[in-house]
Amino acid sequence: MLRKQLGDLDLAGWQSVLDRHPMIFVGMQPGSRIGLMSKDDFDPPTATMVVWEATETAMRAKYEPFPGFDQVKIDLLFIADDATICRVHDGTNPTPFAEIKAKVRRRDILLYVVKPRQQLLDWGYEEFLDSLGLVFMGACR
Amino acid sequence: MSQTTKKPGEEQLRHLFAPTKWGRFNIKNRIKYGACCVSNYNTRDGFITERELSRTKVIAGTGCGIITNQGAYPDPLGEGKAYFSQVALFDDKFIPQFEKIAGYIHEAGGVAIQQILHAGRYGGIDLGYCIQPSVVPQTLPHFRPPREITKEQIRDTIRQHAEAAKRAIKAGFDGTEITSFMGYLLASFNSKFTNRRTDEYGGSVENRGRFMREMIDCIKQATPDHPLVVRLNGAELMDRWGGNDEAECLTLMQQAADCGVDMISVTVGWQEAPESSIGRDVPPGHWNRLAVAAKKLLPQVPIAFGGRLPDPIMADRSLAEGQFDFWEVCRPLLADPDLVHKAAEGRLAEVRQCIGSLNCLSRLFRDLPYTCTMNPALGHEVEPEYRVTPAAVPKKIMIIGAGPAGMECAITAARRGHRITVFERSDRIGGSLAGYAAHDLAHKDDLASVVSYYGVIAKKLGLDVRLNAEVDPKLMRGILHQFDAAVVATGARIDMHALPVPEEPGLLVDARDIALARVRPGRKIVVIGGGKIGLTLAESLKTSGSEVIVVAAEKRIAGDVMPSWKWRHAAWIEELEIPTYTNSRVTRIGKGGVTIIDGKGQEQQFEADMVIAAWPSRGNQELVAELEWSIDELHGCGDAMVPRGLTQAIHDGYRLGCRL
Repeated sequence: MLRKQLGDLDLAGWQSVLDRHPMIFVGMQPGSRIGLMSKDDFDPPTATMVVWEATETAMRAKYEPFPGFDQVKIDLLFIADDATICRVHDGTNPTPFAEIKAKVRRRDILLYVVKPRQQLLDWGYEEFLDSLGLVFMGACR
Repeated sequence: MSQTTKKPGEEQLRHLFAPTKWGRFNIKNRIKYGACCVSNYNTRDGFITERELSRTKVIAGTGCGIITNQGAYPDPLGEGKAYFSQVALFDDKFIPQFEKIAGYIHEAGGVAIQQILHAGRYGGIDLGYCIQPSVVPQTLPHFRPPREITKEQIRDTIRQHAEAAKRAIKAGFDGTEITSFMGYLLASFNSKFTNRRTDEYGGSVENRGRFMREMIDCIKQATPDHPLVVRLNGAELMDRWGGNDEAECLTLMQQAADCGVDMISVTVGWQEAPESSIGRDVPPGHWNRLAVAAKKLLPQVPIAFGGRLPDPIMADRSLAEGQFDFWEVCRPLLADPDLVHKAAEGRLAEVRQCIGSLNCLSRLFRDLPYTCTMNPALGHEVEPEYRVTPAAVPKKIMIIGAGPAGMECAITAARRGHRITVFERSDRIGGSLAGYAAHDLAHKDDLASVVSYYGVIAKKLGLDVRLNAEVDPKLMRGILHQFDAAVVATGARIDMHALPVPEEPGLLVDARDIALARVRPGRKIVVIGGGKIGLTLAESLKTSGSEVIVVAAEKRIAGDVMPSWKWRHAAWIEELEIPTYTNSRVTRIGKGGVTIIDGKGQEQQFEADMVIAAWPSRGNQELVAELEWSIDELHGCGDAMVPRGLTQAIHDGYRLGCRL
């Protein structure tokens, strides 16, 4: 179901989401990688991620298999239900990252921080983390 | 204790103050001091400092029947270490300092429990990783990437806990406590969210609880004559993402009980949970149902509970109803270490309440020592400069301004023997806080309690509080030489001159006038300022039916909000659908609307019948210059000097009161 779902959401559509919001990724070093996948199909190795990868010039979208948490080669991983992913992907949504931000806060989207915070900052994730309100997310509340 | 010797509050709160037995121990009341906060006062290598010992003397003196000392990590590598300066118990070399702490608790008549805290998922603070049952990445950037714990490490970890427990007992503690709170190691084994193992430690709830059961067995064998408390979640609040539901939490409690634990402390929530568990946006008593469920399941096992239950009267009622057996309390005792004594003496109105600002935790998660908004001396007990000692020269002191800084200074100075007169130009004490408390979307009583506390204590100490009394040079000439010192604690105001001149009178309103209900709010409002003042008013006014937008000069809203509370404002703003324009400034305030330049440099118009100025703030310092040659000593204090907010105002007031 997951692969079908993500497969239904064409890469051009994902690329469009990234191209419309380049400022979110300002400062991110080439090779930085952010994954997005469905909570409804989470089992490695059949599950598929959409990966946003920073190049010298822009963010590029691609599909990759999810090998499991212990082997996955990404920096951050968003997990959400299919409907949420569709809304983020939807070309008519003018503010997909604002939607991600709100849903991360409400835990409608779960964000796994795969790499250490310091490494993320070194790789230029400050603006991205900041824009999603992740630095706001403390603990023990 | 006989009936005749009971204090008035002990009669009133007779369940709370009823002596009881716990195993072989006689407990003087039903209050357990919970190990809610690691202090971060100690050395980086786990030794206890004089600062900690001084603080612990205060804790020992709180009057609680059972006192739990803050969690010590049990492993030499520090995989269990969650906080920068956490105490350790992985070696006998630490025992002498723990002996002192156990001694303080016993001297005060308490039963001493030492918590052993392996933070697991939130540990390894000095390492580049943490250990967990399975590799499940963090969801909060603060913490370390996980490694899967091996079976050999599981055995070692259990042994280290048992050895740490033996050391605690050797140091004189009566019992120990392990904790499955907030996602620590025990919790991460118990929970499906983090435990995805396929061996005998993962899978079913029976298997997931195996680590806990083995640990309980091992500690019980190592310390057979001493009670063991286990803290267990009544609700993880993580079930949406695969965590345990409440039924599984109860099953784990049953497992712990079957292993013979001597008390279960019921807790709420993980650090990563999406909703509040202890903040002031949670109504007091909200989580009691979890303790009720635990008690119903395990009627023979003592249940301790206190999550978001700060009020001794509510606690007494809960005990009377048999909801739990011990009121487990910590944060309210940080705010007022005399809470239990005041309750016993029937002086609850004098209690300085915990307002749930979460300053304590905000600081911990910035790797700072914890402090308390309401208790400026907390963490500074070792420093003479923070003690309220008799003044060498009693003075007549005028305090100008009855906000938190002024009242704190006045009360502290009065306790030292100074004669205090407070001049307040308005008709009430509390300054702006009184107004903003009424607009707080969380629990209004918490902030309002700050003002009522100052009122009660001022009356008790006999402070001369003069309302509707504005101080100016003319007044000063009239009272020349009547006072030895003056404190300017006149708070802050919005700098209206920094904003465009409104094209129509009355369009631009000071936030304070709205907060204090001096001006009726409009229907279409633009709030200038995305800090705590602007957000608090925007949220409240939107809730009351006005249309509101927020225009903020900063890149992000909530910049001056307590770190642990920023998310709350951000969430309210979102939930209330209040449009916010950041990196923006108002360029025109005209009839019918305002013009702004937004973050993209674009001009935008908004219809508005009122513009509320909630930014920028500046201190009301004029009196400092005007009074300079009118009085022997002149001091400034709180927001009047640098507008920073409630915590700093109270702390400034206290520090100044201590040294006048």
